[in-house]
Amino acid sequence: MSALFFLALSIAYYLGATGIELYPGDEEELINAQTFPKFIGVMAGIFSFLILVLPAKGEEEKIDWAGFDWVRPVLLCALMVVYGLTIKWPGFFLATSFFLICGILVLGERRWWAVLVASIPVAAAFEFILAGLLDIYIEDPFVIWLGL
Amino acid sequence: VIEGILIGLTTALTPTNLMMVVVGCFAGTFIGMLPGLGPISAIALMIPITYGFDPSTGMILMAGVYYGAIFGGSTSSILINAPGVAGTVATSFDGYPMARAGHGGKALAVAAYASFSGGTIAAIFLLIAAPALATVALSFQSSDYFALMVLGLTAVSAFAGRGQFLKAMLMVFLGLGLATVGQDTSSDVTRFTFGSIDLLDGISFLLLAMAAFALSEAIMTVLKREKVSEAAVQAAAGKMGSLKVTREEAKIMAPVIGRSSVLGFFIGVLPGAGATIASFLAYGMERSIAPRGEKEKFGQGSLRGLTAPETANNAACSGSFVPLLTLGIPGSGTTAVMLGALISYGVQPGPMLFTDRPEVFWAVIISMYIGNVVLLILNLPLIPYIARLLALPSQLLVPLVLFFSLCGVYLVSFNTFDIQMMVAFAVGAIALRLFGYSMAPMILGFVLGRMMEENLRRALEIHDGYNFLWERPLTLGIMILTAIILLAPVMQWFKARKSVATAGEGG
Repeated sequence: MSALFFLALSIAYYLGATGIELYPGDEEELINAQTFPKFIGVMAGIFSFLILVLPAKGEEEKIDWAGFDWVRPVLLCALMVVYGLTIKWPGFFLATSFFLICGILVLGERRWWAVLVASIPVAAAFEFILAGLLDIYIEDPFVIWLGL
Repeated sequence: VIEGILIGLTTALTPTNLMMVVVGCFAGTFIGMLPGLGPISAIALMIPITYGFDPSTGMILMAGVYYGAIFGGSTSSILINAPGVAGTVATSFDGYPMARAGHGGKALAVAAYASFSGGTIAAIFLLIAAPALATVALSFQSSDYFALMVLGLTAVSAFAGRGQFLKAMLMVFLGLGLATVGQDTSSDVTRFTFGSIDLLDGISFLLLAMAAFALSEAIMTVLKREKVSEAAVQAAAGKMGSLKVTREEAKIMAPVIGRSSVLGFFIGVLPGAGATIASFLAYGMERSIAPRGEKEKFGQGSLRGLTAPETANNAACSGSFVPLLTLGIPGSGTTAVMLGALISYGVQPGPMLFTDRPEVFWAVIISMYIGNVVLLILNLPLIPYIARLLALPSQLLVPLVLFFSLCGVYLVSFNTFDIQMMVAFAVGAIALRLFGYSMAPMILGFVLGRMMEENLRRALEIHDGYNFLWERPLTLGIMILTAIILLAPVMQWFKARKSVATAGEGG
């Protein structure tokens, strides 16, 4: 299955490579912006095809799909996306605190003192080190609103 | 060389750099000990921290982290039979049985002495080999570099393990493909940016390394429901026995250290081989030459069986710096991450590094030795305390690792698009890992991609065609070697098929 995906990806990549715009006259050059990507597309296609046709070693069959915990990784990925969307507004401190609190809760921690100790002070200390000590500017409307 | 050593000593022995070695060794031991996080993740996590540093200081910190992570990996291999790094798998064969027999402390001490000796002997080899190779490499041309990069990428795949060659090659091409995203360096033509301004500069190396290693490794521990084991709780409680090694035991260890150091160093120099192969080969070699009575002890807590892989993996770590520092070509995933870091500091590794930036070149070599001393003097006595980290709950640890990874990348670009891209790459990396694809060849392909294209372009311009492949003897020699490596698995496959067919006819 993975080889089939790679074969499709290689074909799409090769087609993308043929669509790279060139300056007039570049087609005649020994190497242009399309050459290397085209080569990569062809080689990746050949190797995907070889994996597809040669006898499998059986690694893929060994995967215990049912034994995996799918919910928590998906929630963590969603949290990371939300973190990316909130880091500019409402800002670093609130976004980081929210991310850490939710992340720790998602992973099953239910002791509130542990959740709070490993999140809010970490976010505050990290922001202080960056903005206060290392003088790195961090956009944080919440801290500005607090007047700090 | 002596002048260089003095430059290296002056740079490496400044209070700041000494502190960096110590901090690096501790941070590396800590991260290397955590289940799921290896040296590549440890080094990748350090890159954003070192951005503002002087290149020598940054590299010294990372070399310390590298050694620390290998040592940390050995600790979790011995105490809880959970090698965080492939290079320390062989360590667990005899280290864990020793720990189960109540000699965990001794096993850790043996591992530390073996690592120290292996690292020290290999650092001396490096001191001799690196300048010599750098001098030779000054005569290399673009075509030779191109051929060397092809060799490096092929070798990484060839050494990827049984049945993994094709997958590793595919990952190399995935890395090369990702490297083509962005503006073409020579013509300024945009490639695979899909009209996005965020992709004009290409994919950031740090972003890819963090997503493929730190993020995906941390999430994989959740996916696989990895919990703190009973052994980890025992180790964290400090029940590991004495750290003392007797004189008789030292006498048994000494010849093993000598043999494994030489083997480890030379395996480490080979592109693609690295610490894992070195440790397995050293283990196998010692088992095959051990006296009859000793042979049976292998796998049940043999001193030789623990000493050999520990010496070899550290020696191989030093050896892997030879192609990185002298040719600018990384031979492993870890050194590929270091190459990326060096380039981001504005330092181009290669033979010119030896003449242009001798302080970086020599300071890294000298700091390796200092790193080994730090590990032995500071880390070993503190191991009973550091081992407590093994029982740290993953529900607190994983979100912190994710946060540091995301922040590390965001704080370089201040672009939230990078965070979203990281998540996407991490999801892709997890899927690929589940299907048995290794990330190291991909990162190596990514790091070498642009350099490869640039050297190919230059070679074609100089030689006015592809004739450089057969007209220049050095290039031809390297390409023939590459072809042999590439064809070896094919030959093996045909041989295996033939023997199966013969057996079928016979039966």
